[in-house]
Parts: sequence; C-alpha cells; structure tokens
Amino acid sequence: MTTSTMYALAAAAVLILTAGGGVGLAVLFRLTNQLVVGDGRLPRVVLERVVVPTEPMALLRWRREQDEERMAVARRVAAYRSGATVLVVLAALTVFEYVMNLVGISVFGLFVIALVKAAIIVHYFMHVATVFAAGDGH
Amino acid sequence: MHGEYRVALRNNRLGLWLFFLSESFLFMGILVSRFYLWGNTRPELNQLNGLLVTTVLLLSSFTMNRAETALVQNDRKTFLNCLLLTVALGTLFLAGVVVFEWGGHIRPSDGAYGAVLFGMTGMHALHVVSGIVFILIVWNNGRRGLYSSEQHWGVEACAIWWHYVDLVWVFFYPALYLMGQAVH
Amino acid sequence: MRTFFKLGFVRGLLGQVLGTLFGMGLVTGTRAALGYDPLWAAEPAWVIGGLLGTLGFMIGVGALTDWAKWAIGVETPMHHGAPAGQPEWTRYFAVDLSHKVIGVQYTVWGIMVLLVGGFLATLFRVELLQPGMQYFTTDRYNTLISAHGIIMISAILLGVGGMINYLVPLMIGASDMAFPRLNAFGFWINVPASLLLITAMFVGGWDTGWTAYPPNSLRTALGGPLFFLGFYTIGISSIVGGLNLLVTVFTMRPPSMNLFRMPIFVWAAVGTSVLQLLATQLVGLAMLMLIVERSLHMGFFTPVLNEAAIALNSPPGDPVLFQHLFWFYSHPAVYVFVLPGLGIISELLPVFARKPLFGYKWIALSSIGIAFLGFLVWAHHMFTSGMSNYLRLPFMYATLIIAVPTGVKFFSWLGTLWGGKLTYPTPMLFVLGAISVFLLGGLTGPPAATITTDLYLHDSYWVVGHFHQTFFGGFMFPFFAAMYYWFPKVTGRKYNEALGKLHFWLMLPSFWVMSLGQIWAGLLGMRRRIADYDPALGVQNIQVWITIAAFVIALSILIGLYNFIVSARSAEVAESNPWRSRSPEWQIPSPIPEHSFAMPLAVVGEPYDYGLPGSVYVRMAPAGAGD
Ligand code: HEM
Ligand SMILES: [Cu+2]
Repeated sequence: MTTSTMYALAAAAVLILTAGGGVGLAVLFRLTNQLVVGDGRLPRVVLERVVVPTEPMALLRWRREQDEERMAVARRVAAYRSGATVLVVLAALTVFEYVMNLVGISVFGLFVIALVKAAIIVHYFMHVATVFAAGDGH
Repeated sequence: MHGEYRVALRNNRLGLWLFFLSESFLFMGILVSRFYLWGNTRPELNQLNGLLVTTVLLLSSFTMNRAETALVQNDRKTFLNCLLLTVALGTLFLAGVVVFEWGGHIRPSDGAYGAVLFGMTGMHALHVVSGIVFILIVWNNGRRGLYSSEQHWGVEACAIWWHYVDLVWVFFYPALYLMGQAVH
Repeated sequence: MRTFFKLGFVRGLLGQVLGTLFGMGLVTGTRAALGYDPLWAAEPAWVIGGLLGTLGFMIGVGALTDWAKWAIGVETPMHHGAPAGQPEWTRYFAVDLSHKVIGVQYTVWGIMVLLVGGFLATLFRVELLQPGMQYFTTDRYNTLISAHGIIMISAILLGVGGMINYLVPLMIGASDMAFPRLNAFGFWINVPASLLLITAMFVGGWDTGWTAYPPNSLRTALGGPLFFLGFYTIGISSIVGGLNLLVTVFTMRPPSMNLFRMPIFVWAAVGTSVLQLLATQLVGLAMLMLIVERSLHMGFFTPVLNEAAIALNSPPGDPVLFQHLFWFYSHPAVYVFVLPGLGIISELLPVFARKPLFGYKWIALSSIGIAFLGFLVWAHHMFTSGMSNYLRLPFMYATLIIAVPTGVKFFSWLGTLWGGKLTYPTPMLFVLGAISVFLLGGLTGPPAATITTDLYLHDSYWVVGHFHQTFFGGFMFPFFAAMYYWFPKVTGRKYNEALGKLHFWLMLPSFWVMSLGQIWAGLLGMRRRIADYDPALGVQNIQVWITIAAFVIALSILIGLYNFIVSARSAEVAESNPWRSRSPEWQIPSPIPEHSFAMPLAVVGEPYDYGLPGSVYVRMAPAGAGD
C-alpha cells in the first residue's frame, strides 16, 4: 500500500468515525426518540396550562417544585451529555491512534494511547471510584 | 438505602473488580503470547474492518453507559431501548469478527499468525457473547420492573462487565491491527 | 433410598454422566450432519463430553440453581441448616451455603483425593524397587507419576481451601464468607474436576507429568486433554475461592480489627488468595491453548509451519512459550500450597509456647512479600529450556532473594520458641516436624536456583526430593497439625493423643528417609519421571529405602485418619478451649452453632500476647478465655 492510499484510508476513517458515527447515532436515537443529549425537553406538566397559586406559601412550594423538576432535567441532560463527551473523546483517540500509526508511532506509543483510553473507560464508564466508596449508590 | 443491600453492594463491587483484575491476567497472558510469537510483526489484515468493528464496539459501550445512566435518572424507556441497542451493536461486532476476520485468508492452523489471531479474537468474542447474554437477562428483568434507580446492582454489573470487554478490545485492536510491521 | 437420590452429590454424578453422554452425542451428531467419516472421533467427543459433563454435575448438584433463579428475577433467601425434610448429615452431600459445612466438604474431599494420589505413588514405588520393568508398561508408569502429581496438587488445593474456608470467617468474627453461593460453587466444581483427572487415567492415560510440556503433551494419548480440562476446572475453583476470601477479609472484619490485629493465618490466606486470583488465569490459558492446539491445530507451541503459513510468512509457534505461561502460575502456585501451612505454624507456635508471636508484623508482611516476589521468579524452572540466555541471571537472583522473607518467618518461629513454656501435644509435634522438614526444602532449593548447579540437578531426583520437602513441610505436616488442633473445635470431641503421636513419630522419620533418599539418588544421577534405571547407577538400595519409607508414611496417614473417624464418632467430649487459645473461634461453643457468633466481636488487644497477664484479644457475650 502506498503512503497516499494510507492517508486516504485514514481520512476515510476520520470521516466514518466522527461524521458517519455521529449521523448513525443520531438516526439510531431518533428511532428511539433520543437525541444525543437525551430527553432534554421539559416535563409535560410545564407545557400544560397551569394555574399559578397566589397564596404566598403555596407559591413558594410551587416554585420549589418547579425548580426541582428543572434540576432533575438538567441533571439528566448533564449525565447524558457526559456519556456523549466520553464517546467523542474515545473516538477521537481511536482515530488519533490510527493516524499516528500511519505516521510511524512506536509500539510503546500505541500502548500509551491504549492506556489513556482504558483509564477513561475505567473512570467514566466503569465508575471505578464506587469500589472505594462505602457502598452508597451513585 | 437498606443496610443489608449496602453491604452486599459493597462486596459485589469489590468482588467484580477483583474478577476484572483476574481476567486482566488472562488477557495480559494472551497479549504476551502475541508479542512472544509475533514479535514486531503482524499479518496483513483488513484495516477498514478493524476500524469498523472497533467503532461498533465503542458505540455499544456508549449505549450501555446511556442505559445505565437512564436508569439512574429514572428514564425507563431509554434504559430498555439502550440495552437492546447494545445487544444489536454487540451482535454486529460479533458478525464483523466472524464474517470478516475469521472469513479472511488466514486459517487457525496457519502458524503463529493463525493461532494468535483466532486465539485473541476468539477469547474476546467469547466474552462478548457472555456480555450479550447478560444484557438480555438484565433487559428481561428490567422490563418486569425489577430495578429501581437506587437499587440496580444487576444493571451496574452488566454495564461494567460490558465496558470491561470493550476495554480489552482497546488493547487488542492495536495489538492486532497496528503494532509492528505488517508482513505480506 | 429416596434420601439417597435426593442427595445433591448423587444428582451431580448423574448430571455428569448425562452431560458427558450428551456432549459426546453432540460431537457425533455434528459429525454425522457434516458428513464426516468416521462418526466417532474420540478426542473431540471426550473434550466436549468432559466440558458438558462438568456443567451437568454443577446443574445436578444444584450449585447453579440460585443464580438461574436470579437470572429470571426470583429472590432466593439464604437457607440455613439441612435441606428441607432431610436429616442433618445430608447437608454435607449437597450444596450448602455455610462456610463451616463447605470447609468440611473441602477437607474431606481433599483427604479422599489425597488417598487416591497416595495410592498411585505406592504403585509406582513398587515398580522402582528393582531395575527393569516388572509390573507396568512404561506408558502406565508415566500415567501413574503424572496422575500422582496433579492429583496431589488438587488434594493440596482442596486442603488449603478447607482450612481457609473453615477458619478465616471464624477468625475475623464474620458470619460467613462474602459470597456463600460462590463459595459452594468453588467447592463443588472440584468434584467433577477430580473425576475428570481419574477418568483421564483410564482412557489411555498421558505421559507428560503434571507439567504438560509440549510438544509431548500435543501428542500424548487421550488422557492428556482430559487432564488439561481437569486442571483448568480446578483453576476455576482457585480463582473464585481466592476472590471470595479477599472480599471477605477486606469487608467483613469487625471495625475494631485492623489489619495488624488479624490472626496471622488470615494474612497467609490473603497472600495465597492473591496468587490464586491472579496467577491461575495463566495456567488456565496454557491448558486452553493446548486443547485448541490439539483439536483445531492452532500452532501456538509447534515450531513447524504448514504451507499456508509459509505463504503468509508467519512466524512459527514456540514450545518455550508454554513453559513461561505454565510457570508464571505454577511457581506462585507452590506458595499457594505452602503459605497457609506456614500460617498454621505461626498460628500454633505461640499457643504451645505460651509466648507472644515474635515479630507479628514481619511475618504478616513476609506473606505478602513472598506472594509478590513469587510472581517474579518463574523462569528458575527453565534454566535448561533454551529460553533466552540473558533471562537466566535475573531469575536466579530474584529466586535467591525470596529466601529473605522466608528466612524472616524462620527466625520469627525460632524467636517465638526461644524461652517459651513449651508443651508437646500432637499438633505441636506436627508444627515442629513441619519446621524441620521445611528447612530441608529451603536448603535444597538454592542449589537448584543457582544456574551452574541446576544444570546438573534439573530433572533429577534432587528436584523430586526438594519439592516433597517443601510440600510436606509447607503443607502436609501443618495440615495435620491443623487437623489435630481444630479437631475438638469442629467435632466437639477429643482425638486420641497416643494414636496422634504414633502418627507423627511414624511420619516424620520416614519422611526424612524418603526425601533424603531422593536427594541422594538425584546426586547419583537418577533422572526423575523415568520408569527404569541402570543398576550401575548404584541407586537400587536407595530406591528400596524410599519405597519402604513411602509405605510407612502411607500407613501413618491411615492411622491418623482412623483416629479422626473413630474419635469423631465416639470419643470423649472436649472442653470448649482445650489449648487455651485467644483466637475468636475458641471463644464460642464447639461444635460451633449454625450462627457462629451470638454477639458481635470486638477486638480490644493484640492477638498473640500469650503469657502477658491481663491482656485480652477479643470480647464477646461470654467473656473470652486466654491468659
Ligand atoms: C516455598 C516452598 C517451596 C515449594 C513448595 C517449592 C516447590 C517446588 C516444586 C514443586 C518444584 C518442582 C517443579 C517441577 O518441575 O515439577 C520446585 C523446583 C524448584 N524449586 Fe522449589 N519450592 C519451594 C521453595 C524453593 C526455594 C526456597 C527455592 C530457592 C531459593 C526453590 C527453587 C526451586 C528451583 C530452582 C526449582 C527448579 C529445579 C529444576 O527443575 O531444576 N524452591 N520447587
Ligand atoms: Cu519455582
């Protein structure tokens, strides 16, 4: 294989992984009603016509409930987004590793990249920290 | 959280991680065999195929993570759908391995190239199969509402098991496709 | 009769037979479907049969039932006591979740396997009485020594499992192991494994020794693959057992028991478990590679290339790779076998010397040090293998360095004995015997670890003598010490002291004769694993002595077992703490009730302050003994 075809292959890889993978994912999640950042819409309650209470204590309580709902949604969006970020970083590292190999990186270098990917997976996907926590959920 | 569940959860986590440690020695042994026998060479493999299966497995790790996150966020529909997506991607990965890697010009009996290639992909594929079965079990139980956003060790175990299998591939992919000089 | 067929053990055996037949049928059916000729291919049929037979046993015995229920979302509460509607003794023949039952199961099965292995040894010892072949063909002889090796190793692993499972939860005041079902699984999988090993002898045997080196193991008879499978299966037990123990020790101690206040045996168990958890995978891999190389011709270990491989420019396989994988496990494995025994020595000495254990921390850390260093020395078994020359020296030095943590143990034992008020009941005799024998093993190791001398000693009877010394000193003698010491705890009765002493005084001198004879024969040039020898070597007298000694050892062990069995049934009831031990398990009634500790344990002092007035180790409802 000549160098130029290799670079072409690398370019194709970048395309496949980032653009292609992204589009593919978007389609997949569309099918399951999920965009990359997850179900980011506000809960249906808000969209319905609601009567805002006028009595001060009730108003306070109503506001708090509203806030909590918004926070829950925000938490959900953030959680989903962090997973997506990790995916993008891992994909980028894979492309990086592929391209670096074409450029001529050593076996040791490839191992270092793999170790970085592994560390990311262990930390973000496998929540290694929970092993050392005293067993309290998430 | 219930006290007994807490204790069990702590033990379960430690136990599963120790098992990962143990399995890592298995996979390290396989990697060492690869370097022992192949040295700084590798057989000519289809690069595109390598990238494709790697991407598919990576995506499956993402959907698995999404499933677990969704359950924690009490988003049950996403939880179940993402589990099925993970199964689909895992199966796709297996198909890629079986059809493209195993269907190529190298046979298991072809010297150290054949032996190690089939040994590495075969052992990894076995773990992928176990992961798929695990996910299906969890999906079935999830469908019946057996997991709550607080208590779902089964889901957690299944998820990190799947990520572990992906992690192994993080090392196997370069060892098979990138490291060393391709020999024609 | 109904009870009989309800026993998990019987159902397991049935399951194994059915599974094996099913596996064989599967292979034959597949061959028929693919149009292969002939239909019957013995090796794949036996390998798949052996695999599914093992699975069949586990299903039949019920070790997988709870997990299967979990998989379909059914809760399974912990069951205590005998199976519903069955008498108490049936617990021992079924999947039981109590670590005390499992510990006894391990021990009893281990002793039975030990008897089988010992029986094989007596057979080939008779053959070695004179030059020339008298009773066996060379193939039979090779099968006997190979089977003796691996069966004894599995017996030792079972004995180790028995001691650890029974003692560790009691010693740390835990209600049970962290994963009781995994614990039961870890024991029961040994049963089909033992049966596989025994079957292997009858389907052609194998002639590789327990080390299974290729290329010989790739060509040996059908017993070979069954032996690989049996070895692999034993490995599964090691891994889950080690995992379970580590989690138990790390999470189930009472908060007041910090790491340096654990009974010393627990440290030894931790060291052993780390090795079991991590190293075993490598030998499993090696066995698996042998199996697939034989069945699918995957050339990991064959340095010959077929045409397609030549066309690919593929490098060849390499038999030395197998030795690396194998010894990466099997050297650490020797510490798996002996660390618990050394722990027993450290545990018992202070009790019988009525003195604090000398250098507790050093002993504790030396177990971990040995476990760690144990990973770095494997190639001292390969000085003559043709591995790269530059590897030899580092492995020689690393091996010699292990003498340091081992020496630490020795000096601390001597320090403990020094000035103690020694008494000599049977367990103490076995402990002292163990120290003397282990010392021998420690002295015959370094010459084998030194490259220049090992080139002569390798594969000679020297090595046979060396490892029998280390195994007897590190396992057999301490194991019997433990059997006698905890006998009153487990059964609630006294063993017969006179018979116990007879057991010891027969076993110790005959062992010395046997192993020194082996060392001597080795120096004279007797090769190991060879069925015949040249009369001109001048080793026949030595062989006679070794054989006689081996028979006396066998007799002494039978006396010991007789003592255990008879005493367990009808001897006098023992006091609750006959040795005046401070350890938690002696502060509760014997035999131990289903729920071991009625009250939680609190550690209030150092574990081994024997003889210090007013010091207390643990406190519970019935205030602890100790002096
Ligand atoms: C802890 C107790 C020990 C045990 C249980 C043990 C066990 C064994 C066993 C089973 C073998 C034979 C393996 C085989 O080929 O089938 C062996 C060989 C050997 N042992 Fe040990 N050993 C112990 C201590 C030591 C020590 C302290 C040393 C050296 C400092 C040592 C050095 C060796 C060497 C170099 C060999 C290989 C000899 C040869 O095959 O040429 N061992 N040992
Ligand atoms: Cu060794």
